[in-house]
Amino acid sequence: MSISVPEKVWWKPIDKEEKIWLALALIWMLISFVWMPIYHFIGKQNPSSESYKAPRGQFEQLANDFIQKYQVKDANGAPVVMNDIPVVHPPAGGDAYLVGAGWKWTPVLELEKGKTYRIHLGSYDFQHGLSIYPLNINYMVIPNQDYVITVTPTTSGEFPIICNEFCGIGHHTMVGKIIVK
Amino acid sequence: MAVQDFRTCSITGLKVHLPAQNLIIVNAVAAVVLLLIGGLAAAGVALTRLPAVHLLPADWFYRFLTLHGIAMLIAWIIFFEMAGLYLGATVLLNARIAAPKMAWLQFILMLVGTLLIAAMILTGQADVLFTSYPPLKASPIYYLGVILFAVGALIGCFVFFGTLAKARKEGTYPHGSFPLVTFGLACAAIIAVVTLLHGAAIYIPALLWSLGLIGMDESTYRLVWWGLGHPSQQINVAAMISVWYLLGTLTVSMKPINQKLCRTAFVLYVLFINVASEHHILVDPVFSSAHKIWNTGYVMHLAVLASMIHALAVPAGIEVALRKKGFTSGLFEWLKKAPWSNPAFSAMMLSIFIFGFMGGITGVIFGSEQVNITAHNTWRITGHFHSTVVGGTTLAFMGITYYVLPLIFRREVLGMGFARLQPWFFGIGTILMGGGMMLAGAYGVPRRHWDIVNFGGSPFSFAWDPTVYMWLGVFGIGALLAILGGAIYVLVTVLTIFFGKKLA
Amino acid sequence: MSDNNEGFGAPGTFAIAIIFLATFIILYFLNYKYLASIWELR
Repeated sequence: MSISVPEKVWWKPIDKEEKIWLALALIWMLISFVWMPIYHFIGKQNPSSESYKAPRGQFEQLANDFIQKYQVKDANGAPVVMNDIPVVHPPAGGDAYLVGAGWKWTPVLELEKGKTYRIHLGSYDFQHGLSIYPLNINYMVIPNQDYVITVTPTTSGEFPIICNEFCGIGHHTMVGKIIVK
Repeated sequence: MAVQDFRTCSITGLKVHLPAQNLIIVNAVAAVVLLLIGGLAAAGVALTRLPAVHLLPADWFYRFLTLHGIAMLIAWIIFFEMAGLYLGATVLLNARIAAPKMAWLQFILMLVGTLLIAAMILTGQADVLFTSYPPLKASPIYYLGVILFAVGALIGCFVFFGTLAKARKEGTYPHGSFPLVTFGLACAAIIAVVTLLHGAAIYIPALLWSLGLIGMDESTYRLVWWGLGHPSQQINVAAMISVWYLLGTLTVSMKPINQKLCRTAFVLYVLFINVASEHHILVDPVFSSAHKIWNTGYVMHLAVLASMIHALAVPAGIEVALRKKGFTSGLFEWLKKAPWSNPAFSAMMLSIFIFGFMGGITGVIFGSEQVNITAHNTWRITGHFHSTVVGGTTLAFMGITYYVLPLIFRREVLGMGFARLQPWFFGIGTILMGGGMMLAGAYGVPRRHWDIVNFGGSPFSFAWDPTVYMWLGVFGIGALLAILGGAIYVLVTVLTIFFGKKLA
Repeated sequence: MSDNNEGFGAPGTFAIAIIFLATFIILYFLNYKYLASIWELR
């Protein structure tokens, strides 16, 4: 009985079936453990561990400089915006900034398919969650941190991005976009 | 003097210490009341997440969501666990409770803490959700409430340990080894102490921060908070599995097949599960991959091994017990002829199934370093932990209630017909709700979100894959079924306590 | 073996446990299969 005191010596050998189960379970646990480091070598989707301490003001400055430098211009040379958010075309293979703040994702990034970008994620206000639809790619965006994810878009189209970490009453309005050409 | 402190249970023959019985009763009643509050909040949240209804305005949605998390995950479960600890340490050991006054302090502190937290949430002074990630800031009274609650729970754990020590010293039970259920509860209590110390390490600084006395680093908060947030769920796992063993014995006279294996598995929880908190921060900055893999991978998987041991040991014990009753034909006659009309039995079996097949498997998968990229903060996570904590822990606790009512409250369960259906409503509801959440989440549907259709009027709003709406429908049906099951549980329990036939 | 060991005697549970393990392994690698289909991320 589980509710009464066991017999005096309860340290007894384990039955064959239980031994088999124990062995199978242990092997599966070890496989699923070593699979994670192995995937770092054979897989092309691994969470980034590159990040830098970046005080709010400093990150804001870097992001604004980036937007100014690479904002897309129309035929008349006027800067292009989408719903008041600047559209920015970073150099292929270069650095890009994506800021979650003020319940907006800024800017709208225009990327090229098959090119690799270092996207700096950061926030000036609350913690946010970057979620790229329909791929279901998710990262945390945390104030005072510059989180660098190295991304190679392999499909083209328009990819809405939403916030999936609660960041206050405007949380659910926080939608942005990444365009891959 | 000592004799009239005890009564002898006419059904089990166990000796029940009356002051302990009172403590079990007040904690269990508080748990059920908070389950009712959490359930009302759940209804508000679920009906808002269903786009066809979209019941609450945004601010009240997030408030209900905060309240739902606190009332269920913290208050209902921990009050019930306190009742369980007192029961496991006194009734099962024929012992008297040590320091009953301290135990009453536990109850009062936890109650006052809960009231402070609820008041802050409902007056809009704690719109921070369950995790209260800075720089979102609540009123200092909110953090104070959490601290009072945690101190209460910590006192409860020490009363439990003190009771065990006293019982051992006074020789109230035959020899050194505790019954398996008490052993499992002791492991839960050890995990609880470690967890609550993590809680102190984060909520005391958070209180000072909300008073404006110190600064708060967002990433540090996340690391330490999850040192509380994840292991506190492992208290529930250890307590739930202890309850499975208890229910197995009460419903079908199950004997653990191998005490050595079961107890070793509980020890694995104590050793390894507390460390494995970083699968909440796998897609966070700051921490290295090696760090994350070590923490969530190796260590957690040894704890998962422990769950896999119990996953075989509990149902196998049940099967052996039922085969002994003569249900020996084929592989599954024992399952067909099992006492399904006993709500405690069906609750236990559904709890084992949902926890293992839904909650357990998805927990390991979503907690894998790379897969987490496609799961973090989506509804997949919500589906996972509703399968563990609602379908697993809560359902097991509901099952044991059908024994606590006659044995401790000494009332015959009223409305047995409804009680028989209750675990099925609740269990199947949770399967559909959790499944719907996980499948919608696989398309990227976020957790903690008020408006996934119009995004509060955002100009960038977009349309989901239509399949998402089907899974939302499954979620909705499941949520309503689970709420119905929860309502029946609360009604049966409350009516039994007040109007059930008194048992000798 | 030990004295009065009643043996395991739960073939039904053992079968369910093997199904559980198979489900676990299949779902684990299906998730990695989906993961391999999305953008390259480092």
